[in-house]
Amino acid sequence: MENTKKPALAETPAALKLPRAKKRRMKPFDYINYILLGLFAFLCAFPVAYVILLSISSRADYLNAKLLVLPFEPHIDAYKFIFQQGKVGQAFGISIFITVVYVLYATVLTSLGAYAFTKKNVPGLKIIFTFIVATMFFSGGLIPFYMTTGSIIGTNNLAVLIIPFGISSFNMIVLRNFFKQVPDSLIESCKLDGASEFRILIQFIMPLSKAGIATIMLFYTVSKWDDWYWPSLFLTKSRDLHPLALRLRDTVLLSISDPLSQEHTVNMQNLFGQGRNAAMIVVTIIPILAIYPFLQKYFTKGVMIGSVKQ
Amino acid sequence: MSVKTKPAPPKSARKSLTLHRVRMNWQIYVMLIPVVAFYIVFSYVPMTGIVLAWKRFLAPKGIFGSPWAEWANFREFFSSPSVTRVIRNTVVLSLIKLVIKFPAPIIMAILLNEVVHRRYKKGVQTIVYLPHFISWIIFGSIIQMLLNNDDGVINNIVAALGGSRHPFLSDPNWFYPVLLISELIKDVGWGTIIYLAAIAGVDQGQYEAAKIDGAKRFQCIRHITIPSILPTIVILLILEIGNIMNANFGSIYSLYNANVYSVADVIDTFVYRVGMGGGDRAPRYELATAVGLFKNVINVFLLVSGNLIIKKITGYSMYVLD
Repeated sequence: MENTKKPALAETPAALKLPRAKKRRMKPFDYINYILLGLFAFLCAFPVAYVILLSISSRADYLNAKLLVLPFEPHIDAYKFIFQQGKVGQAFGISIFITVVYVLYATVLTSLGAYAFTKKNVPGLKIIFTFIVATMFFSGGLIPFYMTTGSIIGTNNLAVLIIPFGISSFNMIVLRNFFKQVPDSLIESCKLDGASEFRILIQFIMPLSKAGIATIMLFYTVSKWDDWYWPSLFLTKSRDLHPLALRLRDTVLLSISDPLSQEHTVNMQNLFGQGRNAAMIVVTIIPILAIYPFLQKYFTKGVMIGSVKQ
Repeated sequence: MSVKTKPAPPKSARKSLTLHRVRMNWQIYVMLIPVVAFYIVFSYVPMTGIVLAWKRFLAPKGIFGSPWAEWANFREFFSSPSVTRVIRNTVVLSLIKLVIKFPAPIIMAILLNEVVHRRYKKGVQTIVYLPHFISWIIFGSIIQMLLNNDDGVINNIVAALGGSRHPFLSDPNWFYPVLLISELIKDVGWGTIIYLAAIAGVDQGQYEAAKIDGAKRFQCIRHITIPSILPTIVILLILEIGNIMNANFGSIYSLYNANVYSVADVIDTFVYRVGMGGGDRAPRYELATAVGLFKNVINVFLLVSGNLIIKKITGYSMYVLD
């Protein structure tokens, strides 16, 4: 196709005017547009870049800075300090644990629902779906949810941060739209071969919907990793179980800190309050920054397909 | 399917058809058991806790054993000095957002769509989606650092330009601009995805045909791009209207402080503070429940009526509501 098209384009002047994406001449509007978008991207990247720079700067860099703190003497003392003093390592481990268990649990539960709701001609399915959609708009509210789940599962444990959040209805609908893309004929032929619905879901539908699964896993990961709200409500009496996000809120936003212990190997001369806070922030975003580039192509596609009304 | 097209089968036949379908799909029902159980236990059981709004909560007796208080909790909220403040702040913030934050991703998606260099577009997208994945507590903390009176970059720049340092976050006049700009940076990029998806569905032939007919770029945007994303805009607008009583808790909580409560305290932050207690105040579960319920009922009302009105005007509506 490409080869046959090119000479034709070169020969007919009328065809040259067709808007060939790469050949289009840049107009003043384009320059303004590019600059505006670039500026906005800079604003989005700046806060993250800023804390990273701040976290590796020394106190001297900080005190000498006129506009922006730049790490002329980079070091990682702030990181050493927060890991030795702030129980950050422990909180990091708890966050990883909660997030991994939660994402697996939520993905399984969401997939079951998403697959069931792709079916037609199943009596009662529509009513159930309506009742589920209704919960997206009306809920018991913060306190009734907190009290009933607290009395069912108990508080001050990690299970209460995981079990009650198994399905986000929005994610389930996104995944359902994905599953719907698998042709019915494929499912029918699997059934003729004697495959059960569970096998069809696990061996065919889920592998064929990788982008969808990756998308909702990313959403669940971020929601749990970033969650300080529910831990702040459910873990009032067990500070040792606090995940990283909550510890971050306590240290950075509320300035609550643990008493200093004598055992550390950090050159305190290098430290300053903002640098320590910045280090803590960086530790919290690094896992997200690490998975983000790998999942980007999936979630872009995932949101696109998932949001299409079927 | 073939059975369905036959003219109304007799009742007994329909019954046996339903039974047959139930039996054929027993595995689907098994799959639904955990899902339905989840929703019953963690969505519908908590809804019964709403009765707390009409009770005087006594911890040892639990929600259902506590004595009734009729409308006392609602009366307490509506006669408290905070009520006008939190309702006004919530509505004002939501309206500001509706006017400024809602159109922003639409404009940005259209601008992105006009970018001819693929790489530039991809690069911008990669960067502007990122803040969505950083939680408000982190993003808010960074904004606080940037605006810090003594060492924040913004104040450093102000000082370098000869201005005097200003405590932006403690100044009620500056709270809305700061909040709005933070929210724009964090959410606008992500918001473009859904519009870009709608634009991607447009037949490129339409643009080419329009160009051959001599249409200018802005005419293409106006007559092709915008109509193609109109249904998406309408649905998101309806959802936004149903959200008027929810100002963004995350952003406000991570940026506000007692100095700016007069403009920043909204229903959700009020419920969180009242419900959790803190300081010398005991948690007031029943009051928080009543306020939460009041908010939720208004939201549902706005959602449904917004859907009706917009359907009348544009012909589009949210399918889950019809």
